[in-house]
Order: sequence, then C-alpha cells, then structure tokens
Amino acid sequence: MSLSVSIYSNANSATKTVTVDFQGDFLAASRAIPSNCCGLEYYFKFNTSARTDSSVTMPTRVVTKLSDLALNLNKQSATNTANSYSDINSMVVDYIYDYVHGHTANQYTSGCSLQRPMKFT
Amino acid sequence: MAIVQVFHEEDNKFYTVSFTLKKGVLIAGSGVDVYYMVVETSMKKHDGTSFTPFLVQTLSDVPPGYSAATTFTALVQDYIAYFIAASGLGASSSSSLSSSSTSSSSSSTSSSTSSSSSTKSSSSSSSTSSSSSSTSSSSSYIERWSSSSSSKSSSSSSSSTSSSTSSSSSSTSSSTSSSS
Repeated sequence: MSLSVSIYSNANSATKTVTVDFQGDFLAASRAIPSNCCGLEYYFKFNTSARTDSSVTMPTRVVTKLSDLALNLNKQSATNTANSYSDINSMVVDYIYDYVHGHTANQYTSGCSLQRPMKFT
Repeated sequence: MAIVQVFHEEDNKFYTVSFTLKKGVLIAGSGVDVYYMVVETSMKKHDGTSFTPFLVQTLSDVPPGYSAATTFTALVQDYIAYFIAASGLGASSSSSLSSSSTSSSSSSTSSSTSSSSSTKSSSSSSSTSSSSSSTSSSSSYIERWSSSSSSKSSSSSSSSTSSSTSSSSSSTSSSTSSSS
C-alpha cells in the first residue's frame, strides 16, 4: 500500500501524481549494504510517471535514512541547508517539492540555475 | 508498505510485522497533515494481548530500550528484534533445555539437533507488498512458549487496535490517497 500525492497545476488545470511507499528490497546499487541483514534494505521510494518540462522521465528516488537529502544527498531542496531531515514528514515534503521543481543538481553549492520542473501540459 | 514475515519454527507459524506509511492529522500534532509510519505486528505479548501500534516520525522513534537508529533498515531490524523478544518467541535460557531434551530422546539425531539449535541467527523472512520480491531465511529461535501458548490461543480473538490518529485532510493543496 502506497501513498499517492496529487499535485495540481492551476495554470494548466492538470494533475500529476507522486507515489511514496516504504518497502524492503535488495538494492542493486546499494550505497551501503548492511552487514547483518543479508543486504536487504528498507527505504522510502518516490516515483512518478510525470516528466520534466523537456519530456524526460523523472527518476525514482530512494531514501534510506533522514540524512539522504534531496539534492545529491548534499542539500535539502526547499532550503539551503545540509541538515538532516528532522522527521519523515519533512523528508517526504521536501522530496515532493524537489520533484515538482525539478532540481537537476545540488544547486545551492554549484550555483547551477537550471531546473527541469514537472511538466503539466 | 513493508511486511516482514517472521517464521517461528516451534509452532510452524508466520508472524508479520508491518511498516505502513500514512498521512494524517495527529492528535498530539499541530493540526496539519503529516507523514508518519505505523508499525504493527501479529505477534502477541506474554499475556496474550496485542501490541499497541507504534508511531514512527523520526529515526529516534525506536522500540523501548533501543537507541536511535541511523537508517530505516536498522529501525526495522530493531522493531523486529523487539517484537520477537517481547512476545517470548526469541531464544532464551530455556532454549538449551529444549535442545538437550531433544538430543537425549534420540541419540542418532543429537548432533544435528544441537548444531541447528545453537545458531541464533535472527529471523528474517521478509517480503514487500509493492514489489514481488521476497526473501526468506530460516529462523532458529526456540520458544519458551509452554506457559504462554494457552493464553495466546485464548486471546486470539482480541483485535489489534488500529491507529486512530490518522484522518484525511484536504487542507493542503496536495491530496493523498492510499492504494493497494
């Protein structure tokens, strides 16, 4: 059972959906395989069928801990801070924010101004 | 939603520990929708009653007696270990008694029995609902169940308490719905 978060665009009268779920799997590209649990990891998974404004598929995001920040694990999306998320709620909200605004890099440290926001047309 | 299955070899039963992401207004919260997780299990306490669902908002929301987790994987493992211990399914001093009695009853199988019962690897069959992948490995916990088995069966009618803290809210621009 997953949560579906609907995002509505007033300008386009269109709705896009981001799906959030908590699940356990063996992650093929795991950053850190636990030594005591056979490689099985539990994580939050964000997914959307929406595309960016350049019609590129938005990637699935995986969060294994509250210090996994949305912008390349270095910064939170909504605020220029490298602090870990304080709770599950702030993490989920920030990752959805990141999907909607389409950050493409750690923009706060790189100075990159390019964004690939969610496409509603 | 992650559903972890814990196999108890003594009574040949699977117990589940579920971790469900939810959104709603918490009674003790600020009145706005928040995301949180609820941890529930089908295991019973020693007295046969159900465990109260646990509310998880941060990695510090761990079972009683555990220190804060660093990852969600560690958090899940802590809850599984806690439920197994608190329900009496885990290995205890009585496990050596049960293994020795087994070996004495049949000398031909004593070596294999003692070797298998000596392992105390943690339980770990797990499966996820959204993805079809599932893994299972054997658990070798020996129960100390003789006194609590009757209470367990007698209290099986007790329904688990559901989290009453969640409720839907449409106060924000995004709406949330659950799908299976």
